[in-house]
Amino acid sequence: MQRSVKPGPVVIVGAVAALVLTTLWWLTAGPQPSGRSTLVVYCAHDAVYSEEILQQFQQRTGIRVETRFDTEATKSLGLVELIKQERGHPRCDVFWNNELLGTVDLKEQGLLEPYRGLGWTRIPERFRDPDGYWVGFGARLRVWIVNKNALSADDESLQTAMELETSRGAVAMPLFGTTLTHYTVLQHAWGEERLRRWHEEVRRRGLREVKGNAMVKDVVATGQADFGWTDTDDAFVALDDGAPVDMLPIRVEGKTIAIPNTVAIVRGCRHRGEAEQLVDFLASADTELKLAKSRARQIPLGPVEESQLPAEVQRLKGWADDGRDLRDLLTVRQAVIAWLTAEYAP
Amino acid sequence: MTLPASLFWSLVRAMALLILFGPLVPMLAAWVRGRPVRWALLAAPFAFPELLVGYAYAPWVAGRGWIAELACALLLGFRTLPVAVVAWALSPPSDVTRSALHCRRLALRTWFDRWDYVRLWMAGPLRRALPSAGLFLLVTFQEFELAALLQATSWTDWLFVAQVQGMTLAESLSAAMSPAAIEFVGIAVVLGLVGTPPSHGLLIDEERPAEPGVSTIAIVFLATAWVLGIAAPMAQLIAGLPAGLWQMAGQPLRWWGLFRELMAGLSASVCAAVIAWGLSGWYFALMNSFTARPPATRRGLRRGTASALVLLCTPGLLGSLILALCVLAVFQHDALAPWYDTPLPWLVGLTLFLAPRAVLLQVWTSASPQSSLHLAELLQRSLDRAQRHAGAQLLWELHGEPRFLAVAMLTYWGYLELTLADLLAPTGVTSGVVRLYNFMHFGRTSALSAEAAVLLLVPLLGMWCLWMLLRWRPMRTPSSGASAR
Repeated sequence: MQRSVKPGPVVIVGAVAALVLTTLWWLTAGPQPSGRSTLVVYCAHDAVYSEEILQQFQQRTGIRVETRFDTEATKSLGLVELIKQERGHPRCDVFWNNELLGTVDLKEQGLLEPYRGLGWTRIPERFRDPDGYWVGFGARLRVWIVNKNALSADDESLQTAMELETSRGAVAMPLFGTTLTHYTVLQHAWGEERLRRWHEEVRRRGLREVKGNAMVKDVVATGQADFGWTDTDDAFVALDDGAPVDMLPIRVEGKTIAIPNTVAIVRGCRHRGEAEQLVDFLASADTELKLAKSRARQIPLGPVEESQLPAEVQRLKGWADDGRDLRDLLTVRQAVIAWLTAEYAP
Repeated sequence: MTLPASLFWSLVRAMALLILFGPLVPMLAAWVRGRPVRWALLAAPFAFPELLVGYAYAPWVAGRGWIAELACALLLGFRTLPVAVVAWALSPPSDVTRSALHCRRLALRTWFDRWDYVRLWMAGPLRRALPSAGLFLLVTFQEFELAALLQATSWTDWLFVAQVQGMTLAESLSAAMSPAAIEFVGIAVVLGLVGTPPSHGLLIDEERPAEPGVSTIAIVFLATAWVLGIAAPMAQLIAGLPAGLWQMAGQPLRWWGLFRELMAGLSASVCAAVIAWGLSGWYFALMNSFTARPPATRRGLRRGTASALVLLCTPGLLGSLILALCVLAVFQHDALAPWYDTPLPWLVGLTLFLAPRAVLLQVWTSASPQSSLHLAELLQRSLDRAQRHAGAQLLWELHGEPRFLAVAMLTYWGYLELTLADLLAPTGVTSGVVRLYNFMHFGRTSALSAEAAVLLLVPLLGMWCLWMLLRWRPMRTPSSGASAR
């Protein structure tokens, strides 16, 4: 006996759901009452900090912004790769990256448009592209994060701990994010052979590799590790939560590693005028101050009213001034990626 | 580790878990039979988002070699066993009773007797266990998020890392073919066994009350699964819940944002679940319609529809990352580019992701004998009011309820799927689970606890309310029966 198939409650629920989804999409992507279209921003900077800044841009200019954020799950793959894959039919107008070398890679692939506006002008030369394909703002530093119950945050203790108590340390997998940039700087400074030997040695001695910088922060804050490499914004999350941690900048041949946010206009951008306004807004002193006052305590790169900076950011600013110029490291980064891919996913 | 090595490791882990946890399946199935509360308690660890589980344990075990492997395996076993129990409960009963097997064993004299005993065992207990074991292997073999967060070895994470490092789509697809083939063999075995029930399904043995001691084992298992899989991850979130709700109470904009994300994720997953369910249902209806055709035509038609099934299920078996990248590439093509920044790619991705699961659920929910359904329908048309009530209720329990629960399960699976939502959702339509993942990156704040509670519990509560409503409906529809007269 065959039962007849009748449209039951399941189909009705499905139809309602389809209606809701279409309405939600229409509300965001459909024509706006003001007649102005929506600026599409891909944002790799963490949503908790960047959402507020983009909202302020909307309020100030009346330009509607729709943002696609990166997630830890698809970090690096998410937005840089997405822009590459969308090269035929780009939907992103402005790319706000939370690091530099991915943006430089996009420029090399011809996926960005130049713009030398007010924001570009106020940022120091080593944090911007000479032709205006991208401009840096609000940086973070690579730091040692130390559990104060186990170790004191000074160079000597950390070097000794790294030598003798390697298994009590933690780093993020170097295939991704700022740890990849860190390895790139190390390879440039030490050369390929030395970096590989060092990498093998610390892994042999049990240096703990975790998924990301936030996890490094977590394992040190909870006492699962005594020290680790992370970024200043992650270290501040632990400090704000009252964890017994401290930080110290990582120096490679005397230079710190300051990794700026970068903003760029994507080739094929449909709203060039609005995109330029956003680039200027993000690279402005106002935005840099806001990022400095946020929980991430990002370091202003251009001139700002120093007295308005929180004390801890003033300390970071001193460290960032010793930062290495990262702009010429793209080739080294590609070599590091090739080596690490063979190492982790042969 | 290479792809073949990680594949081998994933397979070995899945097998080891099956050996370790498998014997518990019949016991738990007997313990929960006919007890909805026990069913709910058993299924809860599997429904609990593995994202939260992974985050809870990662600081303690991630990057610690065999400790991470052990933790991942144990958590995976405790989380996935309910799936095997559900599969066991829904699979067709055995043709060979335990008493028959016992009698055969009492009369083992020649080698032929022994072979006959093995044959009976294969046709009985083994055949009974295979669908459940197959599904358990499939789910544990496909594991991604937990393994990635705890940094245990898995082929899914290998593919993710390779992809991040610039592997092309063609290379990824080629790499994903071997695991997909393994999964397809598994799914074919499960479908084959469940789809062709034995001639005389016998429930006699299984209807016996659970043996003494089973309750203790079941309670110990449940307690452990709840502590490891729900309580420990929840404890960290619950600590901040009151403060988080208080903090959010004065932020209507945030509630609005949360509502929007919840609705986006939920509506997309409901749509995809209904479409996947409809497609799989249509497939089986089509297969059944061939029975009236001449044998030669029937064979050809069946072969054609079997190929269609392969096409329907394979994309979902490749894993969500590969699937998302393929859908993205397809919608970047000139012909489909106008649809790129719409909900369509997300819906297509989710539907394909859910399709193999829908096919499996479709087979299981059709397990009720047609004769029972027919009798229930006759009862519903009775002139007697009480019989009409009983008929409606029976029909709901035999037909409506399993289907509703299957679609609800598909919906929740789709709702928790992160990679597809992240890569394929149109700009501005963010799913709640993507937001949750973003915010979890910053540690456990009270606001996050509140948001996690809303994003994870509201869909479950909604489905539960709908379920209750639908359960209540057949009991209050005597008039519908009357109108049928």
